[in-house]
Amino acid sequence: MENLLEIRHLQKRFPVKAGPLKRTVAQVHAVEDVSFSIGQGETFGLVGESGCGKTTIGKLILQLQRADSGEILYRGENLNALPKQALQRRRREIQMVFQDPYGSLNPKMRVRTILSEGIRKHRLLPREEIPARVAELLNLVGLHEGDGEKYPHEFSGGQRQRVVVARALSFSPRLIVCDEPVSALDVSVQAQVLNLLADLQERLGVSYLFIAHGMAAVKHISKRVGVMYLGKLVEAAPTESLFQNFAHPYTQALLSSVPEADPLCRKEQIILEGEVPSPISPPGGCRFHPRCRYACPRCRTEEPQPQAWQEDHWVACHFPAVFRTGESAPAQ
Amino acid sequence: MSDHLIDVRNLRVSYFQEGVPADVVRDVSFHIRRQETLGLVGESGSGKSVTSKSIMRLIADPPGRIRGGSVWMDGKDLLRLSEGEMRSIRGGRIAMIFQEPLTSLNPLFTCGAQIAEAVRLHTRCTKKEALARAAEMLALVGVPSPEKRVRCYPHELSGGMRQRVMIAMALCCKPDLLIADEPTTALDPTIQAQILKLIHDIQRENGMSVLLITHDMGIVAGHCDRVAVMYAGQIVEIADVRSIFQKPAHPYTRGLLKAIPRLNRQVDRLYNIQGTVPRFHQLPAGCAFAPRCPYRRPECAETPPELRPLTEDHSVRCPFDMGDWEEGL
Repeated sequence: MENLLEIRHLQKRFPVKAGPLKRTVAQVHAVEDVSFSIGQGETFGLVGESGCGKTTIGKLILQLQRADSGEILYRGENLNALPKQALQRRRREIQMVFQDPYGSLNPKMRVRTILSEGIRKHRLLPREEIPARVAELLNLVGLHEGDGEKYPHEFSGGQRQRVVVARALSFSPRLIVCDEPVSALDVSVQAQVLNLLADLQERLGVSYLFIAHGMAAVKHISKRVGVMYLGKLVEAAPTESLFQNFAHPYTQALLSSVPEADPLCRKEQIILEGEVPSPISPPGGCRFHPRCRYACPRCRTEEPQPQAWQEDHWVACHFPAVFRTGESAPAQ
Repeated sequence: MSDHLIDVRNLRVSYFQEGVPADVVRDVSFHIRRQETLGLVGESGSGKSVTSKSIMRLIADPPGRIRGGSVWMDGKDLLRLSEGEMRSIRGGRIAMIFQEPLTSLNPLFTCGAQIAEAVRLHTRCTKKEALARAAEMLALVGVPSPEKRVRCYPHELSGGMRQRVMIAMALCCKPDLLIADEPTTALDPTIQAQILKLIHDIQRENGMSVLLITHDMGIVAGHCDRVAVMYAGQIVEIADVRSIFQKPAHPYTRGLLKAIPRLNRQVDRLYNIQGTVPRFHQLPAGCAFAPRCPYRRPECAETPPELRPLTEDHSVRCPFDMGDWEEGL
C-alpha cells in the first residue's frame, strides 16, 4: 500500500532561555528520532502521557512548527524542504481538529462564516457556490443546514466538535491530524464523534493521525498504533498486535493502568514508580529505564534502537516482551 | 445506630438565572455506609458536583440555593447547622479534593503552609508542629523528600504531585468522609493509577468512606462498592457495583455502558445515545431521559417515574422491566 505520509527520523528540540541575555541554557528534547507512516485512508493512533511529544509531532506535520531535522514525506514530497508557495498548496490537504471545541471556534463568527473562511481565503470555489458547499459540509457532519446561521455558543460541546470537523473538511483534506478530539467531551458524545470520524473516513477516504491518551478510544479507531515516551516512539504496530502482543514494558504498564469497565475483571495493575522525567534532561540509555522494573545495566548506558520484533511490529527495547518469559532480564 | 455515615434525603438544589429557578438537583436521596466507596457517575451537567457540594454546603448563594431536603450525619442535619458548626465539619469530618489541583491550591503560599493552615484550623498546635505534621502527611501520600517539598510552591510541582498535596491536605484531620470530585481526570493514565491506589490504601487504613465522583466507568468498576447514576439532576439508578455492570436496569445506564470503547472487546461501531443532555430550563415533563430513550413509550412523556426498588440494594427510576441485559448488544 502506498503511504500517504511517511515520517523519517524526525527531531525537534526547543531551547530553554534564561538570564538577562536570554541565552539558551538547555534544550527540551520534544521529539527525538521518530519514524512512522500513515497509509491512504488509514488511521494511525499516537498514545503517550502529557509531555511525551505527541502534540509536537502533529504540529510538525502541519508545519506549524519547523522540525530541526528529519523528513516528513507527504505523497513523496518532503514538506520540510518545500518552498513556501508549494507548501501552502500542500498544507490545504492536511488539516487539524483540536481538543477544545470551545477554544478553537471564534465566538464572534457565525458557523457559516467559520466554514467558508478557508474556502474564500484559498479561492477554492467561486463565490456563488460557497453557500451550497457550506450546507453540504453541515450535512456531512450531521448538522442541519439552518445551523449555519448560529454562533458557536448556541451549540453543545459535541456539536461544536462537529463544526470543527466540518471546518477541517472544507479544504477536502487527505489527512486530518486529530489532537485529543474527544477528551473534552462527555462519554455519550465521545461515541458520537468517534462514529462520525469513522463514517467520514469510509465516505471520503481521509486518513487520520489520531493523537490521544485514552487507550480504548485509540484502539477503537486506529489501524496502527504508536506509543511514545519522552519524545521517542517506543513501540509501533498494527492495533491488534500492539494490544495483544505488546513487547515494551512501558506499553505494558500503560495498558494495565487503564481501568477496565468490568467489576469482575481483576487484571494485574502495574503501577509505575515515580513520574515522567523532565524532557530537558532525559535519562541516558533507554529513556524509560528509571521507571522500568526490568531495567538492567545495559539499559542505563546503551540506547535501544527500534527493531522488528514481529512482522510490522517495531519496538525499541533491549529485551522485548521480557515480562512474558517470567524471568528478569539477563544481566550483562 | 445504623451503618450509614451519611444519609441524604430528598435533596433539592436550584440555581437562579435572572430570578427564574432551575432545579439542578431534584429529589436526590442516597446513603453512604461506613468505609465504603460510593461512586457518583453521570455526564457533565447531571448534577453530581452540585450534589457533593451540597453535602459540604458549598453552594454559592446566589446564584444557587439548597431549597429542600436534609443531610444526616450522626443524628444531625448538616443543612440546619450554624455556619460555625459547619466549619468544624468541613475539612474536619468531611474533606474534599477537586479535579484541578492547580486552581484549588493558592499559588502564593507554599504547599507546607497550606497544609499547616488546615491542621491549625482543626487542632490546637503551634505553627511548628503544624508544619511538621504537614511534612508527615506529604510523606504519607508518597511525595519524595517531603521536608524539601513543604517549602515548594504549587507551580513547582507536577500535576500528580499537586494532587497528592491536595490529598494530604484533605486527610490531615482524618476525615470520616472524603469527597473526591473527578480526582484524576486531569492526570495521565499511569499517574491516575497511582493516585487511585493511594486513595484506596488510605481508605483501608483509616476506615474512611469515599464519595467518588467520576464519569469514567472503568474507575467505577475498579474502585467503588456501590454506584449511583445521575441524569438531569436525578438519581436514575443506584446499586452495588456488580449489579450496575451485570444487570443494569435503566436505559441510560445501559446506554452509557454500551457507548464506552473497551480494551477487551472490539466493535465496529460504538453505540450512540441519541441527542444530548437536556438543559435544566427545558426539562421534559415526564421522564427526563424519555426523549433519548430507545425503549420510550407514550406514557413516559407524561408521568415522571419514581425510584423503585428491584432488590434490597438496587433501585431504578424506570417503571418498565427492560428484560435481561446482554453485554455487547
